[in-house]
Amino acid sequence: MDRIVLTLPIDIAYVRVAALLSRTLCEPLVAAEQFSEFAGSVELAVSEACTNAVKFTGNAKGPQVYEVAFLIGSDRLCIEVTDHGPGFDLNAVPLPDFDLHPQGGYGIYLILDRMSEVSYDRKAHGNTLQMTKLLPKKEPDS
Amino acid sequence: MKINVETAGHIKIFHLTGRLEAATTDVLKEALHKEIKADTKQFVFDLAEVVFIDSSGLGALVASLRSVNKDGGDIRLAALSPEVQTIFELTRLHRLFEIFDSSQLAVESF
Repeated sequence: MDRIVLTLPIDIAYVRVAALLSRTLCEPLVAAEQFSEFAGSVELAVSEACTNAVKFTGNAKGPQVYEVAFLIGSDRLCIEVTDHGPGFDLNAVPLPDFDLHPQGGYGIYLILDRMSEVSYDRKAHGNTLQMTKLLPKKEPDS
Repeated sequence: MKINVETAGHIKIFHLTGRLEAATTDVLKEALHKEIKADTKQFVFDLAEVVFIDSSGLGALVASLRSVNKDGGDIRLAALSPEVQTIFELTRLHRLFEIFDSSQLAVESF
């Protein structure tokens, strides 16, 4: 797998750097007619994950940076967002109460909806949210 | 993100351009606050040129609506791209806002 890693400061202004790069990396991976849905999903998930990394690391004691690693495989794009904040329990994040139309709380739900696989790992060196989008299956040549 | 404000009678039309995300929601908040202070109650947000929205952007729109509703006003949305429409439907926010195909139709709905 090819691996591209960004190290970003804990600053909301730079979230778009990772989001826009993710979109660019999608270009050679999928056909033109599939690009909008695929890249849109990846860009949204990256924006949500990075925004959370900034929001929840800002006042933590660890390094004031986070890492975004893009791993490009033959059948998938995997993005790992590693921060040095307090971490959270992915399985304990509640679904938004859609009837109440809350102002927030949609981020993890959107990541889970848009990406094929999502996992979270807390280690001493940092917390990593791993998001994988499987590439659409290629149509066989007729 | 840039906002171009157009007036249609007593309605203010905000033409939003660019990305509506955590780093840019203050632009919307400040523009809306300025108009609310000037006693505007009816708004159309034209999102035709919004190329990206995430949950922070959605949150800003919901907060804007609640703020305007408190004074008996409303915000109606117009010209959502298919990608933005998808995000609204995923979060069920298409049930909270009145959404129109164009800002003209949104203005006429008031």
